[in-house]
Amino acid sequence: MSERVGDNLAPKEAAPVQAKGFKCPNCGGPVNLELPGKSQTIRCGYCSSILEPGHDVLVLKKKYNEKFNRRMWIPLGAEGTLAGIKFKCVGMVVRGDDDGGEWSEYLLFNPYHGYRYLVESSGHWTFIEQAPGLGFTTGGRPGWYGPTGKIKIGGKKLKYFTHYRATVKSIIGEFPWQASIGETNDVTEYINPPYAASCETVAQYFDKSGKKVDLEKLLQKHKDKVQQAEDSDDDEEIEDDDIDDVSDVIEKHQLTKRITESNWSTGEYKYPEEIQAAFKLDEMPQRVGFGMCEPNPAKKRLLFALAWSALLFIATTATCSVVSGRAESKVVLTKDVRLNSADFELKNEAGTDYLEFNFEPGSIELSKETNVEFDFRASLNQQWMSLNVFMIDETSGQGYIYDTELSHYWGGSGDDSWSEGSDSADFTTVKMPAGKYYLFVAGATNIGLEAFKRYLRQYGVRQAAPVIPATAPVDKVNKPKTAVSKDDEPKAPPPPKQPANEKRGKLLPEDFPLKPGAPQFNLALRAKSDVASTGVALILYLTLLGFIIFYYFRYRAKEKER
Amino acid sequence: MSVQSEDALKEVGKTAALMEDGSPLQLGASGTIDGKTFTIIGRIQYNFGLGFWNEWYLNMAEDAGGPAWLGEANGMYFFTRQQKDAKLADGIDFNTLYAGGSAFINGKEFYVKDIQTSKVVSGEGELPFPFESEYEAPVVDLVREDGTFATLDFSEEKPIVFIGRALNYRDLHLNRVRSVYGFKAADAAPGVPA
Repeated sequence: MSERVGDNLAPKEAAPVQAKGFKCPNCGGPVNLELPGKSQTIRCGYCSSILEPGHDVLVLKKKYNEKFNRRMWIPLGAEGTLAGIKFKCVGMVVRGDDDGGEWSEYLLFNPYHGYRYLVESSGHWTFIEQAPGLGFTTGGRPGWYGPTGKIKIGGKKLKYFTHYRATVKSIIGEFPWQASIGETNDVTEYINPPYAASCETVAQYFDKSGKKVDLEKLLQKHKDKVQQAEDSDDDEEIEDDDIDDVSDVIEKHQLTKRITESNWSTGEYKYPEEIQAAFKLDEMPQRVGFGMCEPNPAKKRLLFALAWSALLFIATTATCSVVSGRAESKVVLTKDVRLNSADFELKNEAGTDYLEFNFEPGSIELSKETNVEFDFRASLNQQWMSLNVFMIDETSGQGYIYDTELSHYWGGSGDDSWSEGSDSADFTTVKMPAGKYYLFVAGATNIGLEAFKRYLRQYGVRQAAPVIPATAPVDKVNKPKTAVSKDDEPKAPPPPKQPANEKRGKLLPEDFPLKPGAPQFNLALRAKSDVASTGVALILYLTLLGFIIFYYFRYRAKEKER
Repeated sequence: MSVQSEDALKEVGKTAALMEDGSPLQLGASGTIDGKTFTIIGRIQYNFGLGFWNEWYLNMAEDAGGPAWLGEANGMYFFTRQQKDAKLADGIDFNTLYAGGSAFINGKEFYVKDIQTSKVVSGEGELPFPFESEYEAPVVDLVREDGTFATLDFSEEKPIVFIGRALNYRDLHLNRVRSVYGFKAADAAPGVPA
């Protein structure tokens, strides 16, 4: 049994659905609404006001002074065929993360197949489709799909890649939702090149009766009330004068936060050539680095690896020249070490981000008991670098550790100019017994930190890499049992780092693009016949103790994490 | 079979006009899902605050499972049927569900995708119940990992359960669709007769 309704209302031969011309209610400029009935937001191309299409009218939602000044590689209205479907470009959203990285999301439309996104990030393109059939635990956040987790989509396993907060920086065109600048979403991404999947969540606040609440509006209401009370000459106590921000509003009204949407989508890497051909574009953004879910065909990978190693390595050069002996100081080792992103890992200690790296300059041989002077040089530009040098006796496994720091800052001009630190640092070891020592240098720096963070998140393909490079005498490095502390001599094993077989996420050199102003530093080592004073030895000993404690606790923390 | 009851006629009087939402579907359009033929005979139009949503009522043969619904918005499609005997946990409440949380339907765990309060705007054609417009429907969409899709409609005391799955336009093999926004229906799905 069924009911028949609305016969008189059905648009049997309704007017064709097509673009409509309007005048901007703010500046009067022409606004062409491509998708009336669908678009909930459109931005005026002249005055940048955000407008809301109503019934045959545009309503001013918000005025903006800034002009939209981003490059749109695919212009509004451009048509192209992707995955066998014709799409029209109707909008673009520029979003960014909390670290300053930005990317563009082109909104493509087809009335039958729906909307798609084409995301462009440093010249890399990803074609994204909503996946209404997907849904997992809260935002796919750490839980059983957590950071080490995997999800399965259509028989493909995707690995957790990153989690971040995305903020809308700017918009242009029209959108089937109420778009606003400054809106944020929590995003979790999973990858298996060339495929990607992401989940974005939206949270809203509700009052005790379960009604949805607009926090900003409520806050404004309170503020207006206070203003009114202040304006009137009433001596009565002002209510609500303790409400200053949204958190006060939440507390006052006992609002509860609920995640109301979890939107999953799937994506596929597209080569720029395909996008260029599809939309017949004259110009394309230059591709930098590797895309988040770009497939890595072996050949291409090798080519890039070579290119990066030649051109794009973070120019870290360590020159180790070790001079030993008395009057005639002898160079036992000269080494130029070029470090690249494969050697870097992003770390955070007490709220400060830094890059951690390590390298092995090689081994040095001391034919007789002597001390060794290490001299490090680097080219620093308002930057710092700290280095821990491990000397490991290759026969006994006994280790020695030394540390030094380089920093170079300057500023001002003319008479007010100042400079602090320098591009070099040196230290002298205590007398070392004769023998062959394997060197291991672990460092931390802020050189290239911001670029690294940005690229790691945006383009980096996380690859498992052994902590200690294969060339290192791993068995010795990882045996804390060899810890010996003899008298006042600073002797110790290297710190108990993670077991050698533990996999940690790292960028490969070919995953990492060059930025202008890439860091450079040179390091040099020298040995002199001088005997270190007891004081120096004591300081070194304390430093050593500090390191052991530091690494021990870090090791414990890591263990706990696992 | 269409019945024009007195009630329905009364409701028609109150029904607001359909809004032009640019949907490519229309009454009379037909297609196949898994090889089973359907024809669109009715429609309920919702407004969920972020645009329009249609539930198209599909006439399907009894041996093909009987009448069904095709939810449609912005090129996304959901094929569902009402499950009258579906078992829900006691005390399931619209106000305590949240996206990412879970709910059990017939003893199977579903994840909540989104929570909306939609307003019924208008309707047309044949519908399986007396039609009412302008009422609010608190609706929760859920999915299972295997792609099973469910909608819980909390507008009545006992939630109404719809179960089905999300589909692509190509899965529907539609013909007699509308040409909208300068796109031709014939171009909608190359290789599939429009």
